[in-house]
Amino acid sequence: MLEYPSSVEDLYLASFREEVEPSRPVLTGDVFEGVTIPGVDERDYALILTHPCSMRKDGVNLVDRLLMARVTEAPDLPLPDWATGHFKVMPLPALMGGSYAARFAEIGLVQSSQVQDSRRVACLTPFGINLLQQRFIWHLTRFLAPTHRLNEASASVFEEADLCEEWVMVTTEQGGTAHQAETDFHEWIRTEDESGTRRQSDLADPQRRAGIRREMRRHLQTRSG
Amino acid sequence: MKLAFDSESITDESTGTSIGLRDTTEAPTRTIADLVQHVGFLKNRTRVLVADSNDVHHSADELHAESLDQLLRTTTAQHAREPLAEMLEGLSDSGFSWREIARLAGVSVPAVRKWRQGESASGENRHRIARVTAFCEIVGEQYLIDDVASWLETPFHTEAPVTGLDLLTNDRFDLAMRLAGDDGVDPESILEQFEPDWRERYATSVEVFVAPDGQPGLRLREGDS
Repeated sequence: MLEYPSSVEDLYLASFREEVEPSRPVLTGDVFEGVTIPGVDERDYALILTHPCSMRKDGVNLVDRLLMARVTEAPDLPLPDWATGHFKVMPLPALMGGSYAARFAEIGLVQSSQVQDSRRVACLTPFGINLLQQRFIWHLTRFLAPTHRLNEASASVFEEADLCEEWVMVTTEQGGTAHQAETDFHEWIRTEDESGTRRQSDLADPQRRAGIRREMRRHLQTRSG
Repeated sequence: MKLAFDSESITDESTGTSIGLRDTTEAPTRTIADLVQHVGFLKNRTRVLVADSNDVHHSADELHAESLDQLLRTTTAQHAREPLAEMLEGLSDSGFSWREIARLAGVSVPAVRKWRQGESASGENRHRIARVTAFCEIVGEQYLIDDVASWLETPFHTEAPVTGLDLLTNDRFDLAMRLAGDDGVDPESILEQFEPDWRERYATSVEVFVAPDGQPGLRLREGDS
C-alpha cells in the first residue's frame, strides 16, 4: 500500500521555525503559519501542495497563487499506520514539537504574496515531498504512484532548490539581496556548461549532479575573490 | 557337440592366427575400462581442484575484505584527528550535497550547518564523517574511481533506485567497497544482500517519461496499462 517513513527524521529538512534556512527557495511541502486559505477561512498553518515544477513562472518568482492545505493538530499515528489508512491527510509528526496533519479536504489557492509575508516553520525532505505527493494523488485518484518514480521525476528540481539555497546563503553573506542572488543563480544554472549542455538539464542525470555542485562552488569562490 | 575349455591349453604365446590379434581382442576391453577409470579420476581430481580453488578464492576474498576493513578503520582514525570543518569542506569539494552529507552523518541539515559554523559534533558523528572521508579516499586510490561523489550518487542497478550512498548511510561500507572493487562483482548480489526484497519493493508498471511540455511525468508502461 502507501509508503511511510522509517523515522520522523526522514521527513523534514527543518521541523522548527528556528531550523528553517531563509535562503531556501519556497517549495512543495513547506509549512507556513498564519495563512488564510480562501474557502477554509481559518487563519492557520498551511502546507504548499503545488507541484515543484509548477511553482515559479520564470524560475525565480512564484506563480500568483499556490495550492495549499490547512495544517491542524492531529493524533500522533504509528508510522506503519500511514500505509493502510488516514488517506485524507498527510501526517506531520514532530512538527514544531507537536503532532499535526495537512488536510486534503481543506485546500485552496492562496496568493503567493500572502505566503511570502508569512513565516515558514517547516520544510520537507525530498522523500517527505514524495510521500506527500503519493498521498495527495491517492486521495484524488486512488492511483498508487511509487515514491521512487515520483522522485525520479522531481529529483532535478530538488537538486536545483538545494543549489539555489547554497548560492543564496553564500552570496548574501557577502552582501546583496536574496532576490538578486536567486536571479543570478537562475542565470547561471540556465547557461551551458563546458560540454555545451544547460546545467539545469544536467541536473536530471544523477551522474552529473556532483560535477555541477563542484562547478558552482568553484564559481562562488572565484566570485568572492 | 560339447565344447570343452581347457585352461591349460591356453598360453600367453602367440599362435599363428593370433599374431597381431592379441592386442585387438584384449586391448579394447582394457582401454575402455582404463579410459572410464582415467576420466573418472580426472573428474574427481578436477572437482577437488575446483573446490580447492573456490576455497582459496573465498579465503582470499575474506582476507581482502578484512584488510580493506582494517584499512578503512586506520584511515578513519587518521581523518578523525582532522578538524571537522576541514573534513566537511573536503566532502563538499568532492561534490557531495549538504543534504547527503547530513544523511551520511545521520543528522539533520541544520545540524551540519551548525558544524560548518564552528559548533562541535559528538564523537560518534565526527567518526561517521571521518569514515565517509576515509572511504572516498580509499576507493579513489585503490580502485581509481575518479569521481567518487558521482559514482556514489548513481543507482548501481538499472531496476532499483539504490545507490552507493544508500549503502553507506546504512553502514554497509563492506558492500560499497565490494561494489567499488574491480573483480567484476554482480551488482544484483549486492542488492540481494542489502535489500533482499528489492524486486517486490521496486517492481512497478509506472515509468517516467518526458511530457510534451518538456517536463517529466509519470505514466503506465506500455503493455501494462
